Amino acid sequence: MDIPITAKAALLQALIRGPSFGLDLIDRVRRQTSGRLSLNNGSVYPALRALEREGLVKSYEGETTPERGGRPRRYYKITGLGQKAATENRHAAGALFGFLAPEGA
Amino acid sequence: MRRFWKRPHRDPYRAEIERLVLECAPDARIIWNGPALRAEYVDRSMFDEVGQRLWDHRNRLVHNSQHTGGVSAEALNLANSWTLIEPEVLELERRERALNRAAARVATVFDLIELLVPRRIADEEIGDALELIGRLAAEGRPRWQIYLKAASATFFVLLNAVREVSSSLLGKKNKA
Repeated sequence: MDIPITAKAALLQALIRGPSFGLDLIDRVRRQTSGRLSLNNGSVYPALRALEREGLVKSYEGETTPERGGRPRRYYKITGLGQKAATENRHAAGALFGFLAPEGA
Repeated sequence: MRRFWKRPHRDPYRAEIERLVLECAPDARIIWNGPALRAEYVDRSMFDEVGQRLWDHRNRLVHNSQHTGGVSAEALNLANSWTLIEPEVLELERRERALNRAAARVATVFDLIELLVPRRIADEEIGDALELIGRLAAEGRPRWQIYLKAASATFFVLLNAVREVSSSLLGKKNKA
């Protein structure tokens, strides 16, 4: 069964652990959820670009490697605004599923 | 029935070594790389016997040389360097070559697609897809998985490129 969570929310949570690139983020999300959530290549990159447009992450070019045919990796790093959004997401999900008390309660 | 038929070598030293190998392993394929013998498709159970025969042959050459007027350096060299390869190893080598060829074909297709899409998408998505395909090939996954991954990556790269270009065009239009 697919976990009903958006790619953007999952990527934001994964990026809290440090900067990374698309392929590694897919692995990271899979590991963090013990294989229960597997992001699709087709949805990850548009989600990352959308997060960047919203100012929640920043991207920069990394090293080129022969396995990539000399193409550079693009790393993503969470911004302050992104950290705040990720924390809010976590609180909202926690409150919804009853793990945390809702804010202000 | 022998898998490979080969005329005995013209060089008598090489022909003798070939005979020793083929007597034990009739299915073997003999390849000479300079003075080095490579006998392929030798079953693992025959390794000890073939090895012993070649070793005995080498010892005969060395120790009987006083009586035969000396062994030639070439003959001794031929008897010293040999490799036996079992069918399972050849299968692994064949699979690895096939996977590398598949990965190279995919890389060529991606190089062509790169011409059609924005640079950022080419670097990021095609680069990641190639890296993933390289990992699959290194893990020895079947070729169909590599081609399937390449096909899905191509589809999403083109789709995301269309999305990206159309959203940037719409953005410009809205600003105007």
